Amino acid sequence: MSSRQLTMLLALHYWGSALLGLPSMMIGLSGKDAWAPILLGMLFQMLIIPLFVAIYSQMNGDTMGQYLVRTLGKTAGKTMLALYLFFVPFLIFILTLRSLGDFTSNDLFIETPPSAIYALILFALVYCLYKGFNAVCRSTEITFPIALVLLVMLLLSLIYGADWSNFLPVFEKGVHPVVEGTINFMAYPNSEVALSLFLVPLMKNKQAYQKALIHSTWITGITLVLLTALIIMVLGESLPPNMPYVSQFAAKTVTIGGFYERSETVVTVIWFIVIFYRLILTFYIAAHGCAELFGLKQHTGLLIPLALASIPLAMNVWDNPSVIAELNEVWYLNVFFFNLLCPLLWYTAHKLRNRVKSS
Amino acid sequence: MRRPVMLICALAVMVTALSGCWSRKELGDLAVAIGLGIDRTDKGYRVTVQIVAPSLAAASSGGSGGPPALVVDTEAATIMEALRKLTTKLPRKIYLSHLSMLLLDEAMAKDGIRKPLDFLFRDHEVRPDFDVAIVRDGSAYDALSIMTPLERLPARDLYDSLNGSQKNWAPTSAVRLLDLMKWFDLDGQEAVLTGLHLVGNLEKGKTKENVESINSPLKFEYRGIGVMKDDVLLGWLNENDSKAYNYVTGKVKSTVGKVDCPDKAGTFVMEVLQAKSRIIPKLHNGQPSATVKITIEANIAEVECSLDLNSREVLDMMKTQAAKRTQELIAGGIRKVQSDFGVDIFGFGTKFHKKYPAYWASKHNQWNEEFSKMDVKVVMDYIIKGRGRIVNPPLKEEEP
Amino acid sequence: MSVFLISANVLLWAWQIRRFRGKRANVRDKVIVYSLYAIALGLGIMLAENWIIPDLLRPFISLLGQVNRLFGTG
Repeated sequence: MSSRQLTMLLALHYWGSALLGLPSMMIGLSGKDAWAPILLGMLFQMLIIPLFVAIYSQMNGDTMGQYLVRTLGKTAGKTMLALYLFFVPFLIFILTLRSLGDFTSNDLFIETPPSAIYALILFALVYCLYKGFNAVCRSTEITFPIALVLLVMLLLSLIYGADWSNFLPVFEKGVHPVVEGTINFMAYPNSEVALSLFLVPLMKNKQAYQKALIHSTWITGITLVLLTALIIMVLGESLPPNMPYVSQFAAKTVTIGGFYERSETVVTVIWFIVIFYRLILTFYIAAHGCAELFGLKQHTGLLIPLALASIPLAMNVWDNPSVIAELNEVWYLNVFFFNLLCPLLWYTAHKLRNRVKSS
Repeated sequence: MRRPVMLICALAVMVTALSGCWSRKELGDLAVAIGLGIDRTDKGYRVTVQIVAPSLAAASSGGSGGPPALVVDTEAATIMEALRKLTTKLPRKIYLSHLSMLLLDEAMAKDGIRKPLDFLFRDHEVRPDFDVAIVRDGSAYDALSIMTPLERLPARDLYDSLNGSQKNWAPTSAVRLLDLMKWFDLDGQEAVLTGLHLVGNLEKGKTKENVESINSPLKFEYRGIGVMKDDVLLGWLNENDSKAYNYVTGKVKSTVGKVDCPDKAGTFVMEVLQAKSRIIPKLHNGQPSATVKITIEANIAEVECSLDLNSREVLDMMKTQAAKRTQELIAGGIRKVQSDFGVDIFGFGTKFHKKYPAYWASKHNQWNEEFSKMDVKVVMDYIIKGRGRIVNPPLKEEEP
Repeated sequence: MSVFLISANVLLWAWQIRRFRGKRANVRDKVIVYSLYAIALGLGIMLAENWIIPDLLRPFISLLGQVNRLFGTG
């Protein structure tokens, strides 16, 4: 897998749920300064990347399972793997699936039962993964430019209705909301850099890996900053926190010259593309990790049962959308622990082990 | 053997997806609503919907037979109920994505419009780009039932007229649902809505007679801007004050203003090409005051007194007269709103919020009182761009 | 809808068994794959019969809420 493909895959993954839900969450936390947490988060992300590159060199081409077993010992390694798999990729997979279902049953197809949507998209996911993950990576070369062009189109069309003075007064409520916003932005979507560790066996060299991480971070960061900033400019700061799907609403307000109207379908198309990649990445990691956990050589056999199991899980995960607000308050703890602290832990454990071995 | 089987499976899945079993909306099942009217009644609301009758509205079908649109109405306690109840009167379900106009009646506006509008904010089919207006001395049901000569679809006619008049004649203001959403949530600016009058014979206006004669019996007219506090209508502004509102909020794209001729009897008319406004808030010892700086570029459009437009002093005098007149208009309008209504519809509050956040944080709950006492100065910057095709008015008097 | 899920589950399981019969997969692989199918079937039945309350994330959220109170900004 080339560095460019990994960049695109990661960028599409970060955009995954962020495109529709992030502006609303950020503006709810930080008000009109919501652009600042995103910029800060991007910078912090760049600072964390060296940790992951270091782990990459420690991993030496092994898969995550083998690396963890090497570092922490057989039982601890496998338990760690199981915990991580369950709490990060699999959980994100189920939650993202559920949010896809919520979106389609609220805004697009109201009468369709969400399980039909799940069945359809899972069918597509399973089929794509059967063809191999490399095929998926190659497909990003087609879909990423499409998503990018549509996104740029959306951003450009929002400029027309923008009121530049909506940013003042800057930092009205002080720095605290910005800090909160940064923490939340680091948590979602950005700390999922750790998920890229699972793709290490497919990446050939360290330079490519590092380049991919850096590029995907700034591409996502800049587009999200622009999107959030434009939404603040177009809608102000009091409307977005009240609406879960702001990007689509902002697109509904675009009318230029009386003929360029109704472009909110663009947002829906982008969203479907990026959600697909988020789902496929987490699903692949979950399936592959499970295969390693149980000592299977191929993960393809696990795809179908996992998919079948995830439908009832996704439907039962919460009973009404207000749980999302509660979840958003505490989600950063889960992610910080597994995606930031744990890699740090693994890195230091590996270093210590090496030192012990060599002494 | 495997490939055909897989292909059939894939096709089967696609068939379920493409035919859209659950949420399909056939075009023949939709009643496309272009106008919505909400009146207040004792039981709740009377909701009127103007629906396109497609085969009859298409220009190519020669306009044979019935009207291009239908109106249905019903009464219910909430808007959503009323809309669903309307399916008992129509073979189709009402589809709101193509709304052009929302009309409310005055009783509704005086009661508070937030409650019926919640449905429109919340429904995912409703887009925020249609206009909202209040029907003065009439009901929204009547306003939606008239036939309009120039446009086949009456609600579109109302919408185009409102937007067109906003561009060409300052006292009207096209307020979209998006603007209302923003104003309701903002502390520093209150909402306004334009008023719609129906002038003439209402009964005849609802029939084809309105379209058939050159001088249609019923005409509609947008007049006056209604001042609202939160979501309740307080009162109406007259033409000059509405102009002032549009000047201060920078919405004037082009308009026409009458000015008295300097030293001579008669008037001349300026056509405003461009009007920009800047509100500069000032805080002095904790007392707010503001300066509104208006930059206008105008053409001389009509001269009814005998002036020598070739002379520089005359043009200067005309300029100062025009500037003075406009300044009095705007200052008078602002003062009127301050004294009669006491609500900030111009957006001074948001400017203070942006420039003096600390002051705003302490005072924003009583902003309307502060606004009524505030000292507002209007400064004009007037530029005369052109004089039209002829220089001097015809039959200019000879100087003795 | 759940009928569809359960029937799809059973059919796919049967197909998997047939595939396994062709190749000589070792017992371990078979056991794991079958158990996953069984779990999926179980979940499907639970969904159909409404045995579990649809609020599975609740314990997770309360756990995180506790940690939030101890360490976090909450």
